[in-house]
Amino acid sequence: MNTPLKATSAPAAEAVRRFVESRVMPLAVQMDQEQEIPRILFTEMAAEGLTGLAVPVKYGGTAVDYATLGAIHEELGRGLASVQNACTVFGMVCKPLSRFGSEAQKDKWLPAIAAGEVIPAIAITEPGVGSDISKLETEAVQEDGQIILNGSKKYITLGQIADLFLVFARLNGRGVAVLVERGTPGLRINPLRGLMGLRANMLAELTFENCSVPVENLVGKIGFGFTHVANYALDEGRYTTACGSVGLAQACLEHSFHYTGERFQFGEPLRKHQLVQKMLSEMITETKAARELCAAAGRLREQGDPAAITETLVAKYHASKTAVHAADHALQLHGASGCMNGNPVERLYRDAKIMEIIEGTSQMHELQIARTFRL
Amino acid sequence: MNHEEIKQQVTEFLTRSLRTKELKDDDNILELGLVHSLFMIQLIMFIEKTFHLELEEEDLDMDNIKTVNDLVVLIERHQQTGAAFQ
Repeated sequence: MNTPLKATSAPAAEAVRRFVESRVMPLAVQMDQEQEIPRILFTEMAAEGLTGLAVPVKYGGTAVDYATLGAIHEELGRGLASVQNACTVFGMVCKPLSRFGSEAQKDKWLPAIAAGEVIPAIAITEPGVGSDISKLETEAVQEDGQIILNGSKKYITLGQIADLFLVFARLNGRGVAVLVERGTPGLRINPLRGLMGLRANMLAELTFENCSVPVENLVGKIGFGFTHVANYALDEGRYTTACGSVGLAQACLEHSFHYTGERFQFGEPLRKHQLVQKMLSEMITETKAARELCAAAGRLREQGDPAAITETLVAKYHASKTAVHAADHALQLHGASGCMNGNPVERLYRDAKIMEIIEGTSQMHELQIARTFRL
Repeated sequence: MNHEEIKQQVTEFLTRSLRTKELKDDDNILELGLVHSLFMIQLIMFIEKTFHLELEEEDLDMDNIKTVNDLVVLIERHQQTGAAFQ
């Protein structure tokens, strides 16, 4: 991990679009069907600055502004949601690590992550606990300068290949975040295959059995795990997932626009039929609205306005629902051909539904939005 | 920004974020049950943006910043020690 602290130039959305079209889209069917993102693609993404989007320049990252970050995630989501979501995970680890990590942790990990040498993962969800993170059951004990973990985590994105896990646990009833390296004795990784969508995200179940790491691996103070570190990560994840959902909806629209122009029924292209126009019009309007909500959230985030948190919730809620609706319309418009395995629309339909679940389900968003407005 | 201006900014932020109509200087927001799960990251954003301060980890312990007065003390302490960033 001998990474020079050299700032990669910030990737512009146009450059990311070229990268996605030349390197991600041609491999999308393969990645979906083989259920993995090739390691080489992470190296290529690093060369494009995509693994360091949430890493400060000082640590070798690109640390783009929120408008650019949103545009990049839209391009990634337009290409393949699994790749977009992998980048979300990078952000969900790097953002809180940059904010709450010690200098030693930042020096050690951030440059290596930005360089694509270390793949990170965030481990919050457990077999028995999902949305209610204050009830996490993984136990941490502090003893002789070590943190000893016992418990299990499930549905951990990139878990199959991650080199570093940001793990959330409970220490004397208080939330903690701990860095655990792959290969640490007591950590067992069990691949989870067969996910409906985001199939290339290489999910895993993690089991910790007296898994011991130095106390210096704590990220933030004891008690900060849930209220500070996890919320910081989830907030970041919600923003990029929202933007990725816009990209997915855009892909649905583009495929549908093209297909309904090529396919003829009753003597004219499908898109000359009014009911088809209605569906396309809905997709256009909803996608544009979702993009604007993301842009509004991005502007507030860039300004550091506390209202950004709620606006991001609203953006993710709407954008993920838009993706599901757009994918539903796209599949309907493509008919039988869209239902065939290997057709991009079939994959988009499966991927879209996952966007409504990750980084907080739509229902949790409804509750959060209601609470923040004290309804 | 003087003491009264800081207090006004803090009170405005807390009433807005916590969606409460009124908050006295010594009201304990934890005891009033007003704090929601996103409050802490909103608070960090607010203080760092409004007062151009870089908060330290030890500043962010909820037990020490549960009233308007607590927050004003924290902000003034940072301003006096010159821990602001550009």
